[in-house]
Amino acid sequence: MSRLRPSSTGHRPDGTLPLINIVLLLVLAFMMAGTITEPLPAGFDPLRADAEALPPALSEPLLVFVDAQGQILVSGQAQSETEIEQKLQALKQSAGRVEVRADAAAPAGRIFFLLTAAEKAALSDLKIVTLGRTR
Amino acid sequence: MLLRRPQPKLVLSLTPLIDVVFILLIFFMLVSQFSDWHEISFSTPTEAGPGDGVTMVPRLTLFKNGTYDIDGTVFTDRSRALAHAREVISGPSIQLSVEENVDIQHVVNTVEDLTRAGLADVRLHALPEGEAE
Repeated sequence: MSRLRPSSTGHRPDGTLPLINIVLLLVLAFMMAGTITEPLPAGFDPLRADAEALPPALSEPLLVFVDAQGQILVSGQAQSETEIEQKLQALKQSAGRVEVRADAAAPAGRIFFLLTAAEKAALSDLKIVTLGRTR
Repeated sequence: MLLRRPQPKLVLSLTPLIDVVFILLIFFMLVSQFSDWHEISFSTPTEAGPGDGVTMVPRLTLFKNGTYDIDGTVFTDRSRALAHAREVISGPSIQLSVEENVDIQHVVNTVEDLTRAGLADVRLHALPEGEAE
């Protein structure tokens, strides 16, 4: 009979265990479903298009942002045209990739400059990346 | 009589574990992105001029003020401009001249509409600001 009675000296199960379980599941969900990448600059409204989904990449690309004012940003720092050309030349040497993420209101001339600079550097792997259109 | 001293019970404190797990959760919530990125392909813009081959292709010019010019005919409405382009252009090629300060979204929308209208070969041409005819 004594075995059926709850022990008065035993510890009660901790009430925080379900909380930890849920939080761990959330951590796992974010780790598996999300992509860790450089955040978009503040106030950035990405370009949208009906385009092909970006194929999975084996290496991390150089992220180049073009904001609504036409500034070209790499790692949050504004770049001059010369600096960008040098970066593209260096990427060509290391067979790197570039992804251009432009604001919808970015001047077309800045994107054209990047395309031309990539061609000058003989860099073929420059992609203009957009969000899909919301239907 | 020899009495055995009771073994002290080990109690695992869960507070540090909760702290670490919450910090991990906040980190992943802040750095994870769920955006569905796509890729568009643009031809490298050319500097059109005599003898470069592209001057023979019908030309659609995009202006910052939202107007369109197709070989000298000006339109303010994109659907009319595209319908006109489809009427007067027989082949699949078109030269899209774009003023450099036009919003890139406007260019992408126009390229997509031209492609949907059957003009699959869109050749971009950068038009320096103020150089439009």
